[in-house]
Amino acid sequence: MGTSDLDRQIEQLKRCEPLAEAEVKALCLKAMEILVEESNVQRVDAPVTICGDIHGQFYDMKELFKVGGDCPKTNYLFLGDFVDRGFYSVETFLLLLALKVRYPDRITLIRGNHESRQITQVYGFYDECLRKYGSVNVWRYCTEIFDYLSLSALIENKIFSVHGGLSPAITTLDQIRVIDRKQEVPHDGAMCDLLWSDPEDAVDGWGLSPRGAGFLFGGNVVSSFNHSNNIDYICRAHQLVMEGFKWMFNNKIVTVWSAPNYCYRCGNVAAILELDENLNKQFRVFEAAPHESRGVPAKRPAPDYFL
Amino acid sequence: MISPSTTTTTTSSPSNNRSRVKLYILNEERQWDDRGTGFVTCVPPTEPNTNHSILVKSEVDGSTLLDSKILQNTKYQKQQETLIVWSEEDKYDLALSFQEKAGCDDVWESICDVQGKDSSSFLNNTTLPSDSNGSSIYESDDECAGESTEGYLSSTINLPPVDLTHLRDICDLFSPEKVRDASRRDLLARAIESGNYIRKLIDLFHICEDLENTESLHQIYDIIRAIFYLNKSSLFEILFSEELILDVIGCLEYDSQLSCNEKRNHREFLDRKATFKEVIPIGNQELLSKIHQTYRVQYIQDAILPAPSLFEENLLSTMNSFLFFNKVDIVTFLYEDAKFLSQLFATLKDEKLSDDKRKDLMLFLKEFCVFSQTLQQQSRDHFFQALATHGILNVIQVMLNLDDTTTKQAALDVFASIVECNPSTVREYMLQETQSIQDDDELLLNLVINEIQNDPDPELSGAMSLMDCLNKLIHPENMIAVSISEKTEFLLFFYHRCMSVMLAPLMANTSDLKLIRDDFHIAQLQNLILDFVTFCIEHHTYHMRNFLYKKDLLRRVLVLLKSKHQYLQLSALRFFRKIIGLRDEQYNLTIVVNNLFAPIVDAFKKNKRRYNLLNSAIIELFEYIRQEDIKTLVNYFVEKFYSDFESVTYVKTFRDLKLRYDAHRERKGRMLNDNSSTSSSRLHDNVTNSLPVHQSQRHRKDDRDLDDDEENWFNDDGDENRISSLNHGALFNSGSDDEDSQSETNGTASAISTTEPIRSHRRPLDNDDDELPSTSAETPSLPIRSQYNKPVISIHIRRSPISSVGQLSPSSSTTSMNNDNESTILHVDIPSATSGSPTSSSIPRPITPTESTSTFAMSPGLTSIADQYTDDEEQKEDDDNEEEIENDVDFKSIQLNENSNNSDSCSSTRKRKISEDNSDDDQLSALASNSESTSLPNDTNLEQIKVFKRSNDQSTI
Repeated sequence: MGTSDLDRQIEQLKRCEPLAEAEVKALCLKAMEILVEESNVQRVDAPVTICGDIHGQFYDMKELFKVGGDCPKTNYLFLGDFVDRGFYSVETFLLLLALKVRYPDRITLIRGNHESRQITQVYGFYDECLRKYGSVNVWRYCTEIFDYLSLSALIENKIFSVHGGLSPAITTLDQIRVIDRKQEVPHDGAMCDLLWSDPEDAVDGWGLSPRGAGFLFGGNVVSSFNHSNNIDYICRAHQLVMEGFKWMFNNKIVTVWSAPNYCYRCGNVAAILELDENLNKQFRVFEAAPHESRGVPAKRPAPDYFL
Repeated sequence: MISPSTTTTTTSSPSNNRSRVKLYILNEERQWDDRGTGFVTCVPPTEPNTNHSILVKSEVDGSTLLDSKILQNTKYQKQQETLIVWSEEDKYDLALSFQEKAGCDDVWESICDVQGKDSSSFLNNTTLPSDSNGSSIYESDDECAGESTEGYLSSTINLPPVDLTHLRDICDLFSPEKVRDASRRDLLARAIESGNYIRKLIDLFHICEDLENTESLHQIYDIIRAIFYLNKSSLFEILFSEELILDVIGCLEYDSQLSCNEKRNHREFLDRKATFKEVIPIGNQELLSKIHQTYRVQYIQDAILPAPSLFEENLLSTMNSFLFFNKVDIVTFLYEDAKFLSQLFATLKDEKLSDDKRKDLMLFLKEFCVFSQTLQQQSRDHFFQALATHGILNVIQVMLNLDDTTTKQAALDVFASIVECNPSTVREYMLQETQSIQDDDELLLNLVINEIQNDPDPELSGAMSLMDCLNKLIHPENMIAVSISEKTEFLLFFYHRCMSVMLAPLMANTSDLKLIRDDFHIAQLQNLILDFVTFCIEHHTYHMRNFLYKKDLLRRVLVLLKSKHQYLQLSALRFFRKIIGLRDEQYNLTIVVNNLFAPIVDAFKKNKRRYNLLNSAIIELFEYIRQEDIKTLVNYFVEKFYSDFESVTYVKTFRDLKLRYDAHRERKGRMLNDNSSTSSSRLHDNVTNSLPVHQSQRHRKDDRDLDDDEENWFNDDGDENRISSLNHGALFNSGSDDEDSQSETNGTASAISTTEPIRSHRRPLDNDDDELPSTSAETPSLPIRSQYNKPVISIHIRRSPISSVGQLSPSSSTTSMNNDNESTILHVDIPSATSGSPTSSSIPRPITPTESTSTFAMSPGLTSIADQYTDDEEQKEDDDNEEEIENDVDFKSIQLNENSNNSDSCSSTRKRKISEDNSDDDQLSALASNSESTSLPNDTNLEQIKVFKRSNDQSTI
């Protein structure tokens, strides 16, 4: 697959037209080669723009790129949850993946709790693949790729980024290195927690998470983690915040949410966090894309039928 | 203002059924979530200028489930006498479902009072059709009870006449705000239906098309489309009627969004290009027209009005149902027609059949199976039963031998459908054909495997789906439904005649322990095979053990670490990691003896300091060994490889492994000094007193017998032998591969369904632990296995003739050994630690004797391993291990019971263990005794011995 092919596919995906099944498979294999070389804590250089959950809201992600600038002119770090709930998980994820393959050093994708076989079977991505391709092959290819996605990122050694949050099993970043991440998101343990946990004001130390996986963690946990790993703050996603971003624990952790009008009904705005080369922060807030009529490629039924 | 009735509801008490309600909220999937049951009250404002509110208190804990202000413009709707539905700030759709109609009326009146409306005028709401499933957009929209009183009361809508001048008016009928209201949509639909309106629109359409009046045609397109989106089955009946459907499709060609040159010629396609192939004559005219209709409606759904998402598809849910039930009718009619099926299969089996005809028949069958997905599970079972009776699997088998790829692909698709729905049928067939087919290549399963290995697709997507299919076929989980013996027999068959075929490409590519080809294609294929056998390691503990040794598979797989494809390296590593995860000491020893860490360490070194997936995966492997403190492997690793890892300081894993190792050494040294003579003699006494030598010998002998059978079986292709061992297998293996997969699924399910965090999948320990197995040993039935549910690791080391017992350490050779015997068995029982599971701490853990066998030669390295078990007082076991071991316990114990002479040996061993526990003796008995039976010189053994000899050489270098 040459660069020109890839560029054509990116253009096609930008029009929200999904790729052919064979193209998806080839793209995934290409992406796999890149992702397999990434670390569990992937190093990222500033400047970079950090984005939270997208959840298949393709047209809203296009707004995001309008606000943040196109890849590769802007470097991006996406904190996971590309799929499920929205109507265009396939196009959303494939566009991000194609960008990753085309500009591996310009865009970093890490895994969210929805990048999982089990979750996508419940929250829409599986059904969407089945509907759009008539088979689950594309879902299979994509979920295979999910297993290769990195678990977290470290920006200039100062900002730790992860989809969910911290884990009681992880006190230092080295401990993340020991995770064999190429697997379905487990139901417990460090890898699960990184993707599922939430910070919580009312909790001191660790608390049970109402989500059924991961933990709630309090300000003291964040302080000591940041201190022992010598980082300024943690940047994570995973929770809807109506204003698009939210600081907690005395600016020790920030939630970034990038799906405006989540599920097309929550009425929230979205945000991305831009960091310049000196790690100066600027939040860019944006709203949902106006509803537009979207062309849907029609399936061509086979001319012969037997029933 | 509060009406009297409100006051009554306000005085809610737990026994007040009248105010008892269930609260529902419409979730993001447009389904109603049950938010709890409680008691509803209408609360008057507490402060001036605030509102009345609806309050629901949980009946469980009195907490507030709902506190909702009754705003003037909130539109409440009462449905079906006991339901009040409304939308809150356009964000949430809420519903209260009352236990009693009276309660519903009470609250409804209160709401109407607050909003200043007359409750009685809305009573006709209760007759609203409620055909919605809650997910259709219109039905779940906030319903306006107040403003459309007029609409509800008027029974008809007057439609404008159908002519060119009124087209705009007709369009306006369907403007979004006018079709929001469900009851108005109903009235509209009724009006369209009764006035023969669609027919008139079609007539006008023909006129416009003749006039090439594009603007009007666009309007008609919008109107017809809008009629579709009314989503009423009565209208679909008209739209899809034989006389109208093509004209309706004609109207849908004029999409105003598309420019003229984009106009799609749907009618041309349906008229000219689409061809119905009647492979077997269908006499029934009605059925024929249904088939045509279904194809056309399917075409509308796929090509003309494709829905971009499930959400929008729901807007046409009735069209979906229309299609669905048509398919049910068609497929039911055909499969229940015995004559039709007979004719179909007779034609398929006709040897003079032309290739084209055969292809068409297969394509028909494929479509037939696709249609059958609409059937209920039970009917679908019948459907496949009917096909099976007519010999569908045999037909597939014949087709797979043909060259035509389309035919073959169709056959594979049909095969996949059958496996998906009814794997037992397929397994039954496969078992049957073993009787008649001698040549392994002709077996259906091997033909499928062959297709996997020869997938023409460079990326092997076909192979991938077929692998999935095979996974279903060999999954122990779905094998117990039909009969107990199904699993045993099928797995025996599979491992005997198919597994080698499956592994062939991998074996061939790693012969001489070198990686021969490393192109993308073979890497992909090997990757698929690895996934498959990794699954087997987990789910077929027993069978895989045999197979692994027979094929020296572990070492072969590790050769793949030399591949340049990291994903393949990772899969090989994962396979190895699964084996270690079994915590099976027999495997551990094999790893040591064959020096199997060497290729992994090589891969690690070759990867240098790169922090990538391979790096993490390898570290994780060693981290696991450290965490679980698998002493055999800790010692092996540190003694042999620590120097390579001393410099790896970016993780603590390796340093900690060394610390562990040192601690073990130190403790052992101390203990040897402390207990120099007394301890070992006491151990000796214990063992010899409680387990007389002759008994243990008999014990062993059994094991050898079992091995004889297994190994003969695997080496013998004779049919008689196979049948006897099939039965034999049924005895010792049924159920043995279940446990682990069972717990796996439980965990999986809970991940989604529970709201409680899943922190641990450990099972509480079995409290029957203390029960002596002597009673159960007398009953030769399967259930006794539960009582053998003890975590015990046992090792049997059968020496090859070349090794020397003298190398065993003093402590492990406390029991008598006979150097003259060709085969020596070292039997080590390790008690489980109490710290492994939270509930276990206070429960004494007696130990069950178990056996499992492996053959290998004593290597010099083994002495240290045997050594280490003498101080193994804190061996930890987790539940996984417990289950794995249990599998062995299971079939072995049953094996014991078969031979009634031995029924007591087990209990006496058990008593021994208990007495040991009571004596506060931390030490383990390392029991080595001789076996009367000499080793069997069959091929497998020779092969094994060879392997171990080789490793012997290696480890001495």
